[in-house]
Amino acid sequence: MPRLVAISRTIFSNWTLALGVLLLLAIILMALSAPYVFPGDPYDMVAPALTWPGTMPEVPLGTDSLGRDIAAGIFHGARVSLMVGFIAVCFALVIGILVGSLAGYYGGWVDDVLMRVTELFQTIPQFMLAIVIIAVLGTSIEAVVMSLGIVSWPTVARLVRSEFLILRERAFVHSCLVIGMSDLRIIFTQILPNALSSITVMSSVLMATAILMESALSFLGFGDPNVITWGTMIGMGRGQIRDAWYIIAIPGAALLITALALNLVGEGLNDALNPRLRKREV
Amino acid sequence: MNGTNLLDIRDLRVSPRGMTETAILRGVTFSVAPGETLAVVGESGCGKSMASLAVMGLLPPGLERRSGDILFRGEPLPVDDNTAMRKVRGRRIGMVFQEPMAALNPVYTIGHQVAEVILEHEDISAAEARLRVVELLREVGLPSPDRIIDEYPHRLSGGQRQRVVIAMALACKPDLLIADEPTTALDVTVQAQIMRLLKRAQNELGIAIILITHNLGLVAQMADRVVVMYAGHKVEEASVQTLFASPQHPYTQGLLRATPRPGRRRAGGKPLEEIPGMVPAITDPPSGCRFRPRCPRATRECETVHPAVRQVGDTIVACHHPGRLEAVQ
Repeated sequence: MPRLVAISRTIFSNWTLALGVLLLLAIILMALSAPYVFPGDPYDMVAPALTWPGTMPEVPLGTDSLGRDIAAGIFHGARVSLMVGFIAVCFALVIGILVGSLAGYYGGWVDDVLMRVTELFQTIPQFMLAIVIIAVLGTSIEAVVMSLGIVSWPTVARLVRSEFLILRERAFVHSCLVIGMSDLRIIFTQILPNALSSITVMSSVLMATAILMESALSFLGFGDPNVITWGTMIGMGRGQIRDAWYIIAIPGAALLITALALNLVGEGLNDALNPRLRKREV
Repeated sequence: MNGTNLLDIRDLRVSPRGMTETAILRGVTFSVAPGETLAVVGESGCGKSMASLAVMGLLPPGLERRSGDILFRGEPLPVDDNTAMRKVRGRRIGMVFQEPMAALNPVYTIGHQVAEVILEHEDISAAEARLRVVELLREVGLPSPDRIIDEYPHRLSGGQRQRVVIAMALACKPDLLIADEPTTALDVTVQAQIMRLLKRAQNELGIAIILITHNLGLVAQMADRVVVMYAGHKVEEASVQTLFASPQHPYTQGLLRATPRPGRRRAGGKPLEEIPGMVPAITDPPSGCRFRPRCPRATRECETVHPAVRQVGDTIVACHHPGRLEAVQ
């Protein structure tokens, strides 16, 4: 409990982090409450088509060209966006940490081989690679998650490797060797916790990127047609951009706020976790 | 005598991988008896630390042991077998490094880190380990160990951290402790406390200590025997009394003259002498004796043949012209 108090104090003494966390909590709450606030399929027609926001109390954010409730789409879309972003980042973290830590710790030929593989992925434009993977696997939500994870891990691997290159020379690593600890234990229980702050900061930014990329894929029609996402909504509204711009603007704003929240969290965490900026507690 | 030695290093040679010409250790031989303190002294870069890392099987990447045996209790140490060596490190041979500031992992508590050593080598529960840790922290003289056990390293002073590091090294009651410049990073009063602590631990546990240092004051106070190293060679070995009373090798004599001693102030307040020149680069060693370019006694013979190690009185020395120099005293 005192730990929890300490954590919340850290969060709220830093307004970037506080704002980011609040926005993110609001979006998570939206995602969690979607099936209760808007039961039923968000693809159902509920009101006359092209109802402007604020004109009908039943559909406060209006409807699109097929009479689908935009508010329901936003709530249900939040589920997909957050889930896709979160799982894709987890996927990228697992591969990236494994590759980066082994390369950074062992160096030599292990490093050479792993880094050449990483560069192979980095030389292909991320978005193109994601489209190719979806083209191979089919347009399902799993394929989208997988493709986003695959294009994101090289960045993690690079970061983890650079942290390990620095940390493995630190004397406490030598101390662990000297007490007879195995390499894998040193990597995962001694060095990795020290790299965790930069990994955390990076994952929040990475998640924002993944969510944006998922929307872009959905916009282009590479998303799962069975689930509604903000990108799908923007894609479907683009025909009415001149007379009903709100169809695009509302999911666009949701996307913007989510990406902003994640970046604020990343920025705030960086300030909070960076030992050079942190004031020493007395 | 070999049967009774704890550690025997015989003709140890270490070079960078793939470079047969250059060498960091050029045939170093010494041994440590159980319970004794052996000091290894020399300037920076003469191979003191490399010898100890070779014993632990922890030579930095790119260096390899080219030849030479390392015997522990008469048995060869499996220094090339990392898995086998892990059972020796921490359990049979402990090690203390120079930098107590960096030797502890900043993300774990003191207790966690000391307990890790015990749990790595012994099959006991975490609760038992914790009791042992409190006891260890008390033994190394840390105040209120049951409070310090839950502290993070950044809350401790340098001296306290070095005590924790020593507690880690002693946790499994090793037979041999290698202390690589254990007090260089500490201020003088703390140095004395740490050395007293090591001495006490040695008396209580009967461990042998290899003290790697360039502080001759520390050597005089701590060591039983001294090995002087220069550019990868052992140049002199003697008991501490013999070495300080009658150093044979000109390098040892130079080192002694370069050490300030209270109460021995020279008449006329002459500045402290120094050994001219620098330790030669390992890639470009001088011909013959490695110390020749800096040696006041160098002759034609020294230019061609590197002196073999030989016995002079009670001293083992590698010099063509050993002996006391009139100017020394």
